[in-house]
Order: sequence, then C-alpha cells, then structure tokens
Amino acid sequence: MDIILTNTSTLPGREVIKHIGLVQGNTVRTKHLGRDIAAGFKNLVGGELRGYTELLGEAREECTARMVEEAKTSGANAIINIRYGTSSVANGASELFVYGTAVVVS
Amino acid sequence: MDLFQKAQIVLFFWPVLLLVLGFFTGRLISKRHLKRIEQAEQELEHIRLWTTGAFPESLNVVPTGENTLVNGNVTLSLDVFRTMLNAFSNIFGRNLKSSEQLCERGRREAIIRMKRQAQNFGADQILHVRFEGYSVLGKSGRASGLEFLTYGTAVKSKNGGQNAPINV
Repeated sequence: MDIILTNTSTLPGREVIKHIGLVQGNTVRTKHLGRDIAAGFKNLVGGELRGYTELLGEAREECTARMVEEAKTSGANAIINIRYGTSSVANGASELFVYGTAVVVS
Repeated sequence: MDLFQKAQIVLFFWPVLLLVLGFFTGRLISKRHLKRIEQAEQELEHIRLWTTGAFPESLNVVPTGENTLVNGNVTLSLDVFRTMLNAFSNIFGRNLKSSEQLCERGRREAIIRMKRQAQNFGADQILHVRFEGYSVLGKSGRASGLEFLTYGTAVKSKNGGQNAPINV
C-alpha cells in the first residue's frame, strides 16, 4: 500500500481518522570533486548547475523515503503537512530534512 | 609582434577576457532561459496554483481524493562578470538587478518543474504551494549557486477546476 503525501493540513476529499505522530527523515550530502569543478566553470559563464540540481533532488527523495519508511512501520497510510528544510553543515555539505504528521485516513 | 609577445598579452589580459566572456554568455543564457520559461508556462497554464491549504467553498471544486506531494528544484548561478559587478555594488548599495532576475528565473523554473510532476500525475490543481531559497556553498565557502525549491500538494478535481479563477 502506498502512502499518501501532502503538505496541506487536511486531505482534500478524505477524512483523517487516527493520529499517529510526527515522522521525519534527514540526509547529509556532499558533492564530489567533478561536480565542483563543473560548477566552478558554470560560475564563470552563468547558467544552471545541473549537477547540484540533481544531487539536491536525489537527496530530497532519499530523506522523503526515510520518512515514509518510518510512517509505514508505525502503521500510517498518509503523511500530512510535510515541510522541507535545508541547512549547510560544513563547506560543501548540506543537510536536507523533511518532516510531517503521520495519520490514518479513510 | 612575435608569438611570445602575443602570449604575454593574453597572459596579462586573461582576467579581462574572462569578464568579457562572462558578460556575453551570462546575457545569452538568461535570455534563452527566459524564452524557455515563457514557452513552458503557456504549456502548463491549465494547472492552477493555490497557496491556501484548501479550496474556497464558494468555488465548488470537487476533489477526487487522489493527492500527492510534488516538488520542483533548480540550482542557478550568475556569471563571473555579474558576480564581480555585484561585489562592487556592495560599496554604494543599490538594487542588484542581475540577482533579482536570477531569483525570478529560478522560482519560475522551479514552478514549471513542479507543474510537470503534477501533470504526470494527472492533477489539475496544486494546493499549499511553498517556496524556499537556499544558497549552495562552494569549496571555498562562497556561494557558488542558488537553489530554488517549490513544493505543494497536487490534487485531482472532478470538474477540472472550471469554476476556479485563473492563477497568476
């Protein structure tokens, strides 16, 4: 069974029947050297840094997957009010975290 | 002028050459990006965006109950010429026009990517749209790029949101 993810406080067209609690997932990622060099070159000419876009996108998917895993083990079938957060841990490394409320919906 | 002298001139002026290169490539890239954004925006006009968490009752939007989280992200960077110009502008303080445009492009691109995900899901409404901006740090500790993230809840509606107002 797939878990429904939303960032609204209610689910449109569904009713919340049980509250499970807060679930979260996080991941810390750093870019490898090749991507840094490519980004350095892009800093000269301008434009999209595709390597970073992909990296942050993948990292976000991974922390979402961790959150979903936590919700599944606690028996929820939906996570509502999801929020994303980003913070830089050290130079070149960034932490991505995601949190939400696990609930059971009809 | 022999080859050695020419090489000397290039060695002496290479920072200037880089700045000139950055000036032209930066302008070209942002212009082409804006064109792509405008095309994609017209293509995805039918998906409506809401920053509210629920539909206003007066509009009678009937959700089918199929929802999913969608997000779009993009990392953009300025060229070396405009980065330098912005650094000098710090002395006097003024609007950084190039950075303003960069942020605008980044947000619009992120919206487009989010809308594409919603389109693949088959949704026609996105609720509770939120933006986030974040600077990616480079090796030397300076900001080497800006990430723009936008996310929301894609919702399928029965009446196709015909009663909903046009989003801006």
